[in-house]
Amino acid sequence: MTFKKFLTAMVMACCAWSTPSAAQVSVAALTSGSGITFWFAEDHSVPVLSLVMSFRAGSAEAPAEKVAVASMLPDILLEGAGDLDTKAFHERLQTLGITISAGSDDDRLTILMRTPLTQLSEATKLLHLVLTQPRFDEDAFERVKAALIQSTENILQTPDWKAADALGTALYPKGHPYAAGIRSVEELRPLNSRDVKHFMKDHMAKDDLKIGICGDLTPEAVLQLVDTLTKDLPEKGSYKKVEDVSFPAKGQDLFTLSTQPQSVVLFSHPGLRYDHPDYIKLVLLSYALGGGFESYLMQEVREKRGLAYGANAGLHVMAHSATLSASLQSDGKTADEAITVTKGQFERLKKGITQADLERAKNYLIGSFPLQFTSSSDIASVLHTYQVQGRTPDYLQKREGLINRVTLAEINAFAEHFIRPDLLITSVSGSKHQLTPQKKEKP
Amino acid sequence: MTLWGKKLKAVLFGLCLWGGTPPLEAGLYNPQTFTLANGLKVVVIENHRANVVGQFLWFKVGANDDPTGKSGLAHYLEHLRFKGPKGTASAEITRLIEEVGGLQNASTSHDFTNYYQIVATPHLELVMKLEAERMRDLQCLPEQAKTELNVILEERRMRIDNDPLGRYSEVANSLYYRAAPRRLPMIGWPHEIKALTLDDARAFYRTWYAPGNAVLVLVGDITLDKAKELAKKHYGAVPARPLPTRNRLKEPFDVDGHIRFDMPAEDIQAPYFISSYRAPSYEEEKGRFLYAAQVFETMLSSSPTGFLYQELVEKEKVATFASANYDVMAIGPTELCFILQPTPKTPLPQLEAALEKTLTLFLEKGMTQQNLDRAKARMISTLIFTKDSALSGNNVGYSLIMGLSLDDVENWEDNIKAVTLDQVKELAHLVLSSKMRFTGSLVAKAPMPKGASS
Repeated sequence: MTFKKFLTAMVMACCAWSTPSAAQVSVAALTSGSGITFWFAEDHSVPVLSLVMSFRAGSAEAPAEKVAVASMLPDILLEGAGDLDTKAFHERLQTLGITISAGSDDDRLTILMRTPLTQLSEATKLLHLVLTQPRFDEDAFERVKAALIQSTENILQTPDWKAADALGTALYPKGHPYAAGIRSVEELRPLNSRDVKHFMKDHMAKDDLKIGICGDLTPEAVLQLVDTLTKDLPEKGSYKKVEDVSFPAKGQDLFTLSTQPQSVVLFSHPGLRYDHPDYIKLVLLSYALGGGFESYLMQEVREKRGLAYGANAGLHVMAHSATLSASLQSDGKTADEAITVTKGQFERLKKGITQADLERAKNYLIGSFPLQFTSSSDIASVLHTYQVQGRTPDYLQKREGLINRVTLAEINAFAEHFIRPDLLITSVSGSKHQLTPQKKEKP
Repeated sequence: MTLWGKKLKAVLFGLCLWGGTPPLEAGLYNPQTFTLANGLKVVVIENHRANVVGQFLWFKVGANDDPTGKSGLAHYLEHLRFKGPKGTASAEITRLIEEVGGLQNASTSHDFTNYYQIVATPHLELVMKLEAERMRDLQCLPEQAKTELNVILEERRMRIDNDPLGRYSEVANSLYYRAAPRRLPMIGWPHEIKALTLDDARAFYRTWYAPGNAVLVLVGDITLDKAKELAKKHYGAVPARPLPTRNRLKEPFDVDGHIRFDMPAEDIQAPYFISSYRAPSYEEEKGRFLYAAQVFETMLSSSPTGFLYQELVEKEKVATFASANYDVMAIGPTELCFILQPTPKTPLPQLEAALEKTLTLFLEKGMTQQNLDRAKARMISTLIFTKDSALSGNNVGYSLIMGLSLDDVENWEDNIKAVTLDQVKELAHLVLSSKMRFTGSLVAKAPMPKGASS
């Protein structure tokens, strides 16, 4: 750790780590003078800087009757700040080659910034304005709202949305924030800019802020950058108490009617959170089941039977819920067969995978790791994601060992007790070809 | 309407020049190139930012080369090149590359088909060996070819049949173009897909997949010497084959008239308005408007600073979404296509009138030196990030396969800077006064009267 002597603030998890990059990049968790902890990859290969930051400001934090404020906030943040209106703000960004974008999911609101190093001071100024002085002009607010209404109206017609909504209703207890969602444009019309402003003030705070940075800066410069960016944020946010969700005790088959010819099918099975000791085992199992072209699902559903273009599985981990999910799309006439085949693959997984399956999964998870480090924005994003997952920087070194350590006996013992095909929740949205008597239609 | 709009934009913005500082090489992508005895052109773009390397193999053949009555054949062949008897490169390529953690895929467009793998540096030879072996012949077995037809029909349902804008574009293209092959869907009509055979694919393969019809781009953590050694060793053994002339149906003269298509859809609530103008393609005009078209499109469409968004969304408040797409990098005819979404309060005829008014205003007042300079600055400002991304050099492959030269690629910044206001004005007037127009809408289907059966 050659730069340790420069640090005026505490280095939390002092860990120089070489990315699989030709230009050696070290990653460290740093804590700024004002107490913000973040991860930084010092990378002098190109004169640029990328930053990814997030707040606990996802839709689960929004008031139950005003869920959409969380969807609107990232858009509103980019509608001008300080004395720059929308056009002036974006003109500045585009002319200088700076990108600032924002988005949100159930748990978090995430902001990305990327700038040529020559424009770093201007980029810092603009991002600071976004974080602290977004304009909330009435005009811009109405524009964002109208766009959300129009896009929502069409999204509500898609089988993708219908299947996901039905699944969410079955997975999450009534009244749980994850069960909330925009279900009609009528919910959107009464929203006003004050609602979004309050939501921002309560949730964009220093006490649940994650930042990942990669770029051509020294540690002391980056510490200063973080302090400058965050100095005017509130110290504490006011958050909901969100309960962890336990997976329903009984499997279910759900059906919603849609007009499109191809059905969308989603499967949910219990999952594990990042900190669970068996997490890596489940990642390996889910890869065998539905990761990549050689997986059980792609081979059985697509390659052997031609029932779908894609059939995949993966872990879906949120702050308060974790599932092993699978999905496919198949014609209304063949979707039932594709569902039967998929359920059969969960049964197969329970019986255990082969040594070859395990090697394939390990090799992929280890071999694909360097591919996440091909640009400063990719690296910043990885550093940010690992913090959201609650990891320390040494995970970057430990990861390969954790994967390699898993034995066939262990993983199959785990699969036998953990994989529960009887608990599967299957949600189909499709055409009436699938309306067989034993399935109830959900209005 | 132009399905490849997004891709085009990403590609064109990548053709660039950047004056860097040490330790980076100054200037360009610095592509290095050589050609094998069998005609395969190889381009090497070194970027040692990460221990990662990409192999991108581009063939100069696409959906627009599908034989009459066999729409979707180029795309079908792309799928079949991942199949074969156990032990062949085609059959094993996905497994072997996944085993080293690599990414891979392939795509088919109107004018090209490409195959790529991205792997950690030590695995470069593996992917080159496999791709070169696969280049020798089509290995697919008859039963695999048959099953794959169903996979493609499912892909079609996903991309077209389940997506109202996909369904609309497909019909719109076939109405607006009378002869040129872009009137047909890249993925194929369902009845023609169902009739495709392994023999069709094999014939198409043997006609077009010759080394002399391909460009191999190696990008990332690689050197020219290594590339030469491996390319000769693996691709050098692929036999050369003669190539037929690429002879496509030409679009006839434009007529003075307005084609209109309004499509009701059960899965649409908020409508779209679509409007297209004939526009010269790079190929039709021998590159005359290539750079002016990119500047013109940026001045008009970049959101939220472009003229269209400013007028229709911010000032007039009649639209929530406004995009303009000029697919200038086309072989054969092309268009400037507007896709708009009205605000909940705006009837479509009012939006249509507002677009007309906005375009007139653009011709009269929008093309100022200041707007031109800003558009150019926007296009050039992010060039440094092509060095930041280890694999961005692959864009060079797209340019070459579309008929540009390496010099064109290297001089992109200068060529954009050299565009004059008069050139943009000339092009804007030419396009926006085009007499053969297309206009239409995608709207909610009126609810069925009570008691009617469906």
